[in-house]
Amino acid sequence: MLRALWTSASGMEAQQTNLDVISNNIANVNTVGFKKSRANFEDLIYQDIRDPGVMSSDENRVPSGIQIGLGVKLSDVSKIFTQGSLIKTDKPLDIAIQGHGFFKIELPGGGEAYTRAGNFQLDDEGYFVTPEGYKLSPNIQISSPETVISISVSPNGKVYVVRNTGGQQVTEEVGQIKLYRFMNPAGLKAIGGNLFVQTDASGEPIEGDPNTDGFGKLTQGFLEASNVNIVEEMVNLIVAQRAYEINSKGIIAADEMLRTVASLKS
Amino acid sequence: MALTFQPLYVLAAGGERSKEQLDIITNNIANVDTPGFKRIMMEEFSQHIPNNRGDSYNLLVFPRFKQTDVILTQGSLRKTGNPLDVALKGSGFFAVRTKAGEVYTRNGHFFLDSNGRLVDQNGNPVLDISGREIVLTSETGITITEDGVVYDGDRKAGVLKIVDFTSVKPLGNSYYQGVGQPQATDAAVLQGYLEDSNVNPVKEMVKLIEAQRRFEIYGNLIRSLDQMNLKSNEIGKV
Repeated sequence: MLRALWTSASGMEAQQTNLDVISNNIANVNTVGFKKSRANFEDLIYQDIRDPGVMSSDENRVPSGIQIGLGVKLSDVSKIFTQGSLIKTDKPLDIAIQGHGFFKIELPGGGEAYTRAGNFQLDDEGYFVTPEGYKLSPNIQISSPETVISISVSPNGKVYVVRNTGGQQVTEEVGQIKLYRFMNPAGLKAIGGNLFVQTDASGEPIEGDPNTDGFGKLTQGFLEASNVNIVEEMVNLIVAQRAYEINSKGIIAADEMLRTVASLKS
Repeated sequence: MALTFQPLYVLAAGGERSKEQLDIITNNIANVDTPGFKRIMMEEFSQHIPNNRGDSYNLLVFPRFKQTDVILTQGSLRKTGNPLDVALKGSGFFAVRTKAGEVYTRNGHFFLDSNGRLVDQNGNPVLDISGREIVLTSETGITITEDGVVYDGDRKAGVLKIVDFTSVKPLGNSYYQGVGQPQATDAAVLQGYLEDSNVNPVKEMVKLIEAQRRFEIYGNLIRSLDQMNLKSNEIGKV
């Protein structure tokens, strides 16, 4: 049958995936630390219909080659790790990263994940945990939380608590938050829940202290908003929908041609 | 008038051409959102039927497929803000090393792989002006200037190889093969941008209608000729 049918179908399929990615971005427009994705396409292989120089008749030679493309395919869906804007929350355990780097999180049952969402809480043992209850790594524990007056996090990741012990206020350092970055953050695999895990493509994590060696600085009392730009996504949505439509017209045209073929013999 | 079948073949050849036209148009439409894609144009030519002699030599001509041209006009530039997205403004191609040798692309959607090499979306290394890979230490602080110099912080990591060709052959996966000798170019490199496909959907839709109608016209003419032949065939009947 006509090649055009499959070519147009590949275009529709690609735009459908594009739509999936865009709607996921839009759905996460208010997700803390969310990073938008983008679907990327590339053209499929070309079919060499005729090589240059073959004889087209006794006297004539085809002057140059003919190549017909077979459509489009999805090449990758990559995360875009641009900075999201910071939202002031005034909660002491909301920590935003301004710049590059990820927090490391211990997954239950072993394994590590990385996140940009710094909305931490204290669990019943005084550990810094994510809203799901996963511990921040390296662990930061605040013992006897009932005596703590305030918690502060410095831009370079040091965590201090001010305690009231016997009527006296004592400042105590309880830990150091580390950041991790990757050679190729786009190669990280998103596992949902705002978490990413390392892959062969992302490379090994590089550990460092915030505000040093190209790592971002920490800002206490702020959260990093999603980096989804809703206007841009709406425009992408329109483009995807219209591209889907015009690809479907290709199928209709091919179909009508086939009908013409069928009606040649009455 | 004798029974003649030759026009049938001429019309059938025209039908083939409009079918191929449709194939090419739908491929352009499918790639309306592919970065760095260049639309393909089909060129036809008419050819005399070689065995015809006398006046009829000038009458019947076959529409033949001449060639497919890659139209290298500039696509519009889309801002992505991604430091490793680069677009070319002006003619030229980035050079990429694949297993099959050096190929060229205008899809500047680059990454760093786990070893810090600058690679394209298929993981093939992007080449610098001396044909070497470009190795960077991290994604932070990469600056790519308009003349293609890649800085890793303050260190000059390489100069992107950008070459131009008079014509290219599409290979798929956003790659092209150059025809003839590579030439120097003065294309500007824009960091944080991708070049959109240069397919114009309006024009492609018009061509789509044209291909379909052209095919229908050939179909109608074939039917009419068939009818005429049928009538001629009946003349001798009693």
